[in-house]
Amino acid sequence: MSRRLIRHMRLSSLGLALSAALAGCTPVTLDNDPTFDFARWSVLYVAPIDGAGRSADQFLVTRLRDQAGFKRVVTEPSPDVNCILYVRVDVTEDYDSDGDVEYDAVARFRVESAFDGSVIDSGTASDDAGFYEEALEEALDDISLHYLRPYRL
Amino acid sequence: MHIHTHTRGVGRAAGCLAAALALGLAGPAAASDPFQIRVGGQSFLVEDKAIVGLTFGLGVSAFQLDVAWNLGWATSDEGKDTLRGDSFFGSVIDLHAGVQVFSVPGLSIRLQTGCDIWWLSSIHEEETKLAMPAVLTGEVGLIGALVARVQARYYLLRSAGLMPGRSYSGEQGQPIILTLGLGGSWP
Repeated sequence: MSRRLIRHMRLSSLGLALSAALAGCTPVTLDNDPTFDFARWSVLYVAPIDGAGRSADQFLVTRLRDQAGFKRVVTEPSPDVNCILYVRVDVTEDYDSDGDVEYDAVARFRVESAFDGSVIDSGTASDDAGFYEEALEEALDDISLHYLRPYRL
Repeated sequence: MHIHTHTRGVGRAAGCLAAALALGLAGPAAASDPFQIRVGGQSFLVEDKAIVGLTFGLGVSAFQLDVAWNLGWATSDEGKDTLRGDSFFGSVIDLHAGVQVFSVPGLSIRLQTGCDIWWLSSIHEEETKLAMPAVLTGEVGLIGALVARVQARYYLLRSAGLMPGRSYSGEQGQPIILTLGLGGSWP
């Protein structure tokens, strides 16, 4: 290929790049359109977690208040509560091939209507880690991810 | 419903990368140098967001591997409302592999695929959106080792809620994302 042709191709490519830059930018929208109806089920009471202590309760409530789409997350039943989150956690100890301890945390959760006890939503979150607290918190954090607030960015 | 976010995300990313590696290893060789290293910076040409990052590339014969870590900020008021007043939304991680389809001194074109990970850490530490792109990259030598790079990517597969070409108000435009970069390439 001749030097002249290569030079022409290089200049053309630069021109193409500059044209692309001047042509404007593409929008990219990131959004989360949750299936859970946060408009209807807006005030959540988090029942004490079965199988974990108060620090786990507090962790989950904090994460839900920070990340989830509920209007309010409360730790005591009140007349304005319209849904209740029940969580049961099981953490098992296991050993990997190197003999290091590993904790597997499984959190089964369900949200019930505060009016008639019907199940609105349910699921299972699981995670593992080298420390008990870490495995537990990561599984609970997955619940806050499940109820992530709607966003559009 | 079962959630295991780490495993699911890593599994998808590994699948994308494996497909990209297979394409790269199977592709025809057309490189001018058998071994090449690239480093640089890049900026996404996107509306209402500023996304900039560092890139690292490796070429062995025609096989080309590029990775990039980009940080993103919302520049519109709507985006900042979503982020509760903050503007930083997270990272975009590019893992691209493929082949160099054209190469002459001072000009090369690569065709790649792989995985783009939009990690929206400011919304939730585990909130990610994944995409498998087709990536066309042109690189032009400027002075010495300095090269300019233009890259176009089109998402063949993508997570729900990752919408290239879609404006905040919902209008759909062309879905190709362009990036411009500047860096060094050796040899």
